[in-house]
Formats: sequence, structure tokens, C-alpha cells
Amino acid sequence: MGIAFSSTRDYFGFISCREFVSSDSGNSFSYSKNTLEKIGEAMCKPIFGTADIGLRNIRNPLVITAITITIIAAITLVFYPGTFAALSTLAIQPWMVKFGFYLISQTTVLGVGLRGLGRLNNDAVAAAWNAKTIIPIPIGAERVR
Amino acid sequence: MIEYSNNDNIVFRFISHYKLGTQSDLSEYYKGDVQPNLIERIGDVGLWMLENIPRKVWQMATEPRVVTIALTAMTLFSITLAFYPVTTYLATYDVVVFVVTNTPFWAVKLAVYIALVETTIAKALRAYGRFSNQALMDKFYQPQQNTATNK
Repeated sequence: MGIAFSSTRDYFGFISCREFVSSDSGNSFSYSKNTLEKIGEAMCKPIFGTADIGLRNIRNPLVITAITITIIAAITLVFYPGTFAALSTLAIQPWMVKFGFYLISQTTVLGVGLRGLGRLNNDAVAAAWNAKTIIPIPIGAERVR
Repeated sequence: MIEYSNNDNIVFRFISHYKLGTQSDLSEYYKGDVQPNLIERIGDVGLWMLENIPRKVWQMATEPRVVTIALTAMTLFSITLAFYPVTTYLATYDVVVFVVTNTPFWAVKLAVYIALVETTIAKALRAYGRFSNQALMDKFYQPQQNTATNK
């Protein structure tokens, strides 16, 4: 079954959403995820899961502190990679950090693609989407009814 | 329906006949007793690829699954280019050079030649089939006769 999208925004909403909720009950839309979607979800979980928790707890001082420290570390790494490596207690070289970022970016993008393909190939999701009985919930958003 | 009038000058009448001879869809004419003949059908077969493949490619290109695969591949490539530009550029360059140098020019030329000849013959067959279809030609000239009668 094919899925019809009314706009590009509609398409990206479907592909990138965290979950679907039923427009009638407001509860999570239950369906059996296929293998492709499960693999994709596992691949993008490290970044999307963290971003989701962070955004949903953005008012928590602990989260604010954690984000601040992460940003400071990232800026230091970009401007002074050698100093960062020297200060680091672990034997982390700048190329390792770069490769790590590269790897996690690729994994996340591939995961989003696979998850999207899994959803597009799921007849239950397609039927509900075409009937407009489900709503996509983006990352970091709370379910509000 | 293709507009045609005996009172038009030769250029407009030629254009009307050209449209009748080559237009892909003549479903407005083919009703009841008026049906395409064998020669036209052979021409249609020859033109199937030219007339249907672009539409099918467009349908495929707008299919969400294909869009997802293409976007994912493009993003993966862009990230690789952003993180390792020199390595990615050299690898891409090698692949392009390999493809270009291993594609024989004569084969491309021959393929284009065959495609052009085949299309020309098929168009000619379709036009010949339609112009030799008496029922179709009568129907094509009909609106002009009706208009003249009405006047």
C-alpha cells in the first residue's frame, strides 16, 4: 500500500517522528514494527533518544548544565584539538573524535532512512496515515491532548 | 479533438495533420467503429519506450520509498564529504574516471543512432497507419464539415 503525502513537510514529519499517536484516543498508536524499522530505530536511538530526553527535560538544571559542558567541550575541540587531547585524561586523539562523530552521524542518518523505509512498507501505518487517524509526534514533543 | 479547418492556410493544416499523425493519445477519436489499424499499433509499440518511460521514471522518482533511499544516500555522501573532503573527492573522481574510460564511445553512439532510427520509423508507421485509416480521417475532417453545414 502506498502512502500519500500532501507536502514535503508532511513527508519529513512522517519520516522523522518519534512515534505516532491515535488522533481519536490520544494514546500511542500500536502496530507491529517490521525488521527494517526496528533496525533503523536501534541505529538512530543514541542521538535521537538523547535529543528527545534532553528536549523534554530542557528546563531541568541538570540538563542545562550537561548541554553547557558538552558545547564548551565541542568548541574547545574545534578551536584547540591538540590542547584538548593533551588535557584529556584518556588517550583520545583528535582524529578519533572526528571519526567518532562521523560514525555516529552516518549511523544516525542510515538509521533514520531505514526506519522511514520500514514505516513506508508497513501496511498498518500506511492505512492509518492515509485515513488521517494517526498524528506524528516529533522528537522532544510531549503528547498533549 | 485536434482543430482542423479547410479554410486555414497550408501551415495550419500541415500542423493539424502533423498532430493527428504523431500525437500519442487519440482516444477522443477512437470510439465505436473507429479503431486503430495494425500499422498504427506497430508504430505504438515502437514508441512505447519513448512515451511511457519518462512518465514511469517520474512516477518512480516521486514515490516516497525511492525519495527516502535517495535522500539517505545523498546525506550519507554529504556527511562523508564534509568530514573527509579530500578522500571523498579522490574516490569519487576515480569512480567517475573509471566509468567514463570504460564506456566505449562507439557503443553510446550506436545506441543513440538505433534509438533515433527506431523512433523515426515508429512515428512514420503511426502516422501512415492513421492517415490510411479512412474512418479516422473521416472523423478528423467531420467537425469542419459540420461547421460548414451549420453556416
